Amino acid sequence: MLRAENITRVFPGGLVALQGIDLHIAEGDFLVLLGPSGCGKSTLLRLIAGLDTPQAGALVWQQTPPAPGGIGFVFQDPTLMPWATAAENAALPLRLRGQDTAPASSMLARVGLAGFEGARPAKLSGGMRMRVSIARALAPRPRLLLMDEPFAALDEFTRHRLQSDLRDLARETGCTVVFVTHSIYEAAFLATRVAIMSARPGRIAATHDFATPIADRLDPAYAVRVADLTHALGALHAG
Amino acid sequence: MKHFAPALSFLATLAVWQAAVRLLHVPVYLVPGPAAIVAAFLSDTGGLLRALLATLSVTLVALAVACILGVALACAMAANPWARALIKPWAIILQVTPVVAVAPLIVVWVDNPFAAMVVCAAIVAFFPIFANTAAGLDATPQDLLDLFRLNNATRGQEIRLLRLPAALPYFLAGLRVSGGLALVGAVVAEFVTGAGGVASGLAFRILEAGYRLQIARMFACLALLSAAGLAINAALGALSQAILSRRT
Repeated sequence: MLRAENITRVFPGGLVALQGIDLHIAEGDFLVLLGPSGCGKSTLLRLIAGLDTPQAGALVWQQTPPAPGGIGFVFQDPTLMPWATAAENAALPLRLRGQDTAPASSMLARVGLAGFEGARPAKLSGGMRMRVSIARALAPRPRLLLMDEPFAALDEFTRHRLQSDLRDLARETGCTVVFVTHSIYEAAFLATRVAIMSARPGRIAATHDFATPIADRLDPAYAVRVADLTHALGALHAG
Repeated sequence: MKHFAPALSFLATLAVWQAAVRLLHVPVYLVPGPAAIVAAFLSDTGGLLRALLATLSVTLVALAVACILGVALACAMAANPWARALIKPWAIILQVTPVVAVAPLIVVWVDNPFAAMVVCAAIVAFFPIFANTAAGLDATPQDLLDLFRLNNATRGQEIRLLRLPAALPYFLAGLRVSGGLALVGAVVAEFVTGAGGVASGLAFRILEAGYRLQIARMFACLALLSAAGLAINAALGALSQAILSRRT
């Protein structure tokens, strides 16, 4: 789907956020960018979204680049408009493009918010707000969904539930997902591929491909993946 | 009991004031007591209320003009960096120039006395609305702006659907400040234009009473102005609360 070729991003003041990033994102991938805070994961996500431009290197789309709205983005915070209802928030991308907003309602129902369409964000819990944010990103049926540590601020129970729902949604919609996290457990549960990034300046230190999906957290394969990723991060830290 | 504290302290102040002027035999042309002020008001209730209405007309029209101009110019600044570079210095010049110094020029330039007073009051009321709205438009969360960019939103959609609703609480805070300032501006304008022969507002009544040493009448006018200021502040506060509570 997309290949990042030798991407370098230097911020004003000379801070090198990313250096020589080479990364391939295949159609249908659930790619997790895993790395310590400040390693440039979010910067890479913004570059892929087209919200920022690299100083060197290129992002090469293997087919045509997604049309506006073809990329969904879920931020670390739900980033909802506090004056708008859940339905209005979820329908925003469709409304901006003058499209029918009905898919937003069905996506809200799909993420478990049927009956909350008229609720404003202040009346929703943190987990529900994040569900609205996910529904908003998926309602236009994007080819690519970018998620920037969306569950970092949620409690453990809500996070587990949302991780399971997200994995199911990604399978149902066939959407390619790039998911940023610094949680090994999250990466091990969600990913079909994990790209481990080194500390600043961010580089892709290693990639791990996981062919079979994890059924649940009691699946022995999950523990093995956690161990593999912990080992890989430890080796990176030692190196 | 706490809710009645302001009213109780107000009544206590009036009582102490009345007792002091009576016991100390303060002449009414120096400091009249509350009873004399009420008597002065009752002796020409119709005239003073008409004057209040005239001052309020200038205040409210000026506030509306300040709203339209303040929001429009703040939006122009948010939409275009060139507009920001052009508008901002003039807005600051307008803010730092005392309206008392400009008012005589406005009276010369604007034929209609009512319009001249509105211009003066609008100049005073303009800046809080403009500055607050501009700050609100600039304070729109970056992630939401990115979301609009990702969805190829037009500049108009960004302003209308995102920046303006995000700036609404800032605008309402500015409006509340400007409400009081519009009244101040109207009074200043009346002082200036009133000397030119427009004898309709409360400020002119204050000048007139001062010339005639009707100090109790002056105080009655002042009391009406204070009450009008309080009413404007309370009304705009209630409006803000009603609008903002509907958004949560």
